[in-house]
Amino acid sequence: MKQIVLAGCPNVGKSVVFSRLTGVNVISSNYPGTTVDFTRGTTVIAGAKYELLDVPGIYSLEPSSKAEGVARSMLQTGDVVINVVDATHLERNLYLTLEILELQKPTVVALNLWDETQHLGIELDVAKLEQLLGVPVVPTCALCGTGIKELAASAAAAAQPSKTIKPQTEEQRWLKVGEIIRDVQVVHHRHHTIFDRLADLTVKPATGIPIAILALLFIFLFIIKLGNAIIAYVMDPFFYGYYGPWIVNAVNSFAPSGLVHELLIGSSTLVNLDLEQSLGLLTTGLYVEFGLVLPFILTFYLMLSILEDLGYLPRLAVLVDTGLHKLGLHGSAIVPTILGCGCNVPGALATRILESDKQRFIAVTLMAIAVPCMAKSAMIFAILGRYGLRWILIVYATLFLLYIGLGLVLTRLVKGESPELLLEVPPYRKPHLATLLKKTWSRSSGFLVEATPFFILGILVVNLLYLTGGVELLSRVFGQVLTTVLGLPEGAIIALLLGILRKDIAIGMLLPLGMSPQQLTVACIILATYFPCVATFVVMLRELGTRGMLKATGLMITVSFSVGVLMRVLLIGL
Amino acid sequence: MDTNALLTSWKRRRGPSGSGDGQGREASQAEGVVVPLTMLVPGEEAKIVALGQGGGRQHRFRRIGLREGKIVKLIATQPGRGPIVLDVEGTQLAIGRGMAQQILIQRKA
Repeated sequence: MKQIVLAGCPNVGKSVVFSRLTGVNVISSNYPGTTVDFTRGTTVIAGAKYELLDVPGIYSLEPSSKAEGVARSMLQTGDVVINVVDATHLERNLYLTLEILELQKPTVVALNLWDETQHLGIELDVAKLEQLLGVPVVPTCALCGTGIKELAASAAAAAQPSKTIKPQTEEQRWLKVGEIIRDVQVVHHRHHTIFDRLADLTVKPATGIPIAILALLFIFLFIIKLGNAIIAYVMDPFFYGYYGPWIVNAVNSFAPSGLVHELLIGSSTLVNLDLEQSLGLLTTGLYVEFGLVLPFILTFYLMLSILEDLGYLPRLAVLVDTGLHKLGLHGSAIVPTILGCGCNVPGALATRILESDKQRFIAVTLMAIAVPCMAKSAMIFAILGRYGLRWILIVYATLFLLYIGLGLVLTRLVKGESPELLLEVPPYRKPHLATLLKKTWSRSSGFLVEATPFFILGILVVNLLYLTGGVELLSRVFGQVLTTVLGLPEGAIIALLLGILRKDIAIGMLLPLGMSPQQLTVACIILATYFPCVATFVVMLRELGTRGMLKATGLMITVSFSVGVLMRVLLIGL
Repeated sequence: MDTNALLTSWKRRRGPSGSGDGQGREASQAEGVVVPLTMLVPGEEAKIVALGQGGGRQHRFRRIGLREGKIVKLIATQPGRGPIVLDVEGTQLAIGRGMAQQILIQRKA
């Protein structure tokens, strides 16, 4: 099978072209660096099957970050290259195009965002460009699908490398870029749009910082409110009104009691339907994941997708750059951090956009300790929310202070460089509703697929521990520490143990213990910080290596315990 | 300050006849003061004349769109020695203050 490699500068829409060609859904956004690893797909063009590789965006073939290194090696193995180019910024894209053509592989250039050139008053002579580059050039609009068929056909037919472009030095390449632009591009004057004005307002500190604070606060509250509304008006009526009684009846009909009954529906009965605490796979298991966590996951990813497609995140990166520098990071680290608020797994992967090992270590470690994923957050909202917003805010304020405090310490302890920010800030674009919904769904269903096995495993482990008397044993061994040092009931050990599998059920385990809001707050903070869930652990291990992971783990346990003790003293007293 | 060293080395390279790199000659025609990029005030436009020292850094600047001869406009400066935001031919770029100090620009007369 022939391999087609999609390559291009960051944020030119490679992933959208990829989705169009393969039908595979790939996450794309309006900021550089959404794709940090390559994605594979297959497509059939004129009866023949091709493998397609979507690689991270690069500015040149001299790699300066991990993501660019991946891209370079992919290019060298492919049979045909599709070079996706932003037609609205041809000049900045051409340098890479020349480098790619110099590899002497059959290449097709896709002039993407073609539709936008007209609004921007840019005129391009495609025939001339084709002639100068010596390879086919196809105008495309990946978002609307224009030109994709032609692109596929050209890629399948491409057999010859460029005859006009030969290997040259960096200086010659820049001169060539200049020559080509002079020959093929005419730019007409255009008027400023409302998006241009908004673009300026949101990066100027005097207006940008207040806008950012208000926007983030609004989004945080909106996620809580909308999530809770979905639970109150959709999930609870469904689970308590229809599903619960039905499943209890159904299970009772073939297993009125015994082990199977216990495992499936736990202590729930028709009269006393308790989906939060009955610990059955089909009662608590399904309810916590779909009824309590999913509503927040959906609302979070919807908001994230809006921010991404609009193009706000790079502006946020600029505004927080000064602050993040004090923590050894730079502004771009805000993107992985916000992704981490959804799930730490893609968050940790996204730290690859950071240039140095030091930045990556700090970003990943801080995320694992102080950035709660939406599954964690959802349960914190659900459990602490019933005692008032105050307790939720205490948890988040503690995590926020931890993030800053630890960052200040880590940047002094970790050796290595913290380079400065150098970032392209894309123009604002109007998000498309269909794309937003598709992206939200693709990420939410991804969450369900990833989370479900661990969730089921977690519920099984709890049942097993209760049945075998393991809970009492563990409580006796660790109970002393929990009660005297952290002020928590002995039973909380079961939550700490399960937290290694999944944080959401772990927090759910706190419910039957009858704790005060103060105790719950301490327990939530400890559960949020002490150790990542198993899925995050695996990714961290891969990204940081064994030694890095050992250091991070030591830090997590120390920090979590210390903060737990501190919060116990502050909230519960001695 | 290493910016001063940069300035002198830039002047030396250009020499009395203005024989610098290709773009430098153009720059010498419009009489403007050559200063680091960080000296611009919001809204001001200027022409890039030098990208500082170090091939790797120059290369990073060029491929993101910052090249000799380009007209840049300062959009915003973040407080606390934060990054500056530029407009280069319709594209916004954010660049750290230290890096911006390396880039020399010629103010419009």
